[in-house]
Amino acid sequence: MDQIAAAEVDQLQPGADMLDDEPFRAFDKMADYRAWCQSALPSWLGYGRV
Amino acid sequence: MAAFEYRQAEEIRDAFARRGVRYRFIGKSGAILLGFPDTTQDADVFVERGPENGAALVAAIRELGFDLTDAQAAEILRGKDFVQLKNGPFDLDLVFAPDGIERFSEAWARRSEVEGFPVCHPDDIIASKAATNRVKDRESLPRLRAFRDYWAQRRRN
Repeated sequence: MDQIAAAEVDQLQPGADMLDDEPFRAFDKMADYRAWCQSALPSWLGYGRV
Repeated sequence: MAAFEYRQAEEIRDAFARRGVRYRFIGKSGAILLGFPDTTQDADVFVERGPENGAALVAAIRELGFDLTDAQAAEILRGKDFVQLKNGPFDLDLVFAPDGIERFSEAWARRSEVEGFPVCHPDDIIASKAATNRVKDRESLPRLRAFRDYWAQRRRN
C-alpha cells in the first residue's frame, strides 16, 4: 500500500488552465470525447490520437 | 485543480460499496492499484450502465462531495459514454463504454481485487489504452505490457 500511496502524488497538472475550465462534461459517445480532446487540448498533453 | 490521492481511491471504493455500485477502476489509476509504478491526476472508473446502477452511482458521487446539479445527475442517468467530473474533491472520469472493451460483463468476469479495490484486469486496461491509441497511451503501453506479464507471473507463483 505504501507503493500505491507514493504513486498517486500531488502534482501540478499540466495545462490546468485548459483542462479545468468546466466542472462537468458529458459526451454521448466516446468518439465525441476523443474528438473534443483532439481539437480542444494542446498536443503536448498527449490526448490526441496517433 | 484537484489532485488525486490514494485515500481518495479508498473513499471511492467505500462510497461505491455502500451504494452497491457495479464498477471497476480502469486506466492508469487501475493499473497503479495493481502495483504499476506511475503517477496519475484523476481516477477512472468503468461503470455498468443501467438505471439502478446509475442511481446508485449518482448517490455515491454526491456522498463523495461532488456538487452535481439535478440536470447533471440526469445526464449521468441517461447513459452517456463518458462523463468528466471536476466539481468535487478530486477529478473523476466515469467511463461507461471504454474503447477496446465490448461489454461491462466481460470486464466484470475478468476483474481483479486488490486490497478491496475492484480493478479491471490488466489485459482490459491495456486493451482500452491500445484501442484509444493516444500519444500518451503509446508511451505507456510497452511498460504496461511488461508489468502485466510480471503481475500475471506473480499471481501464478
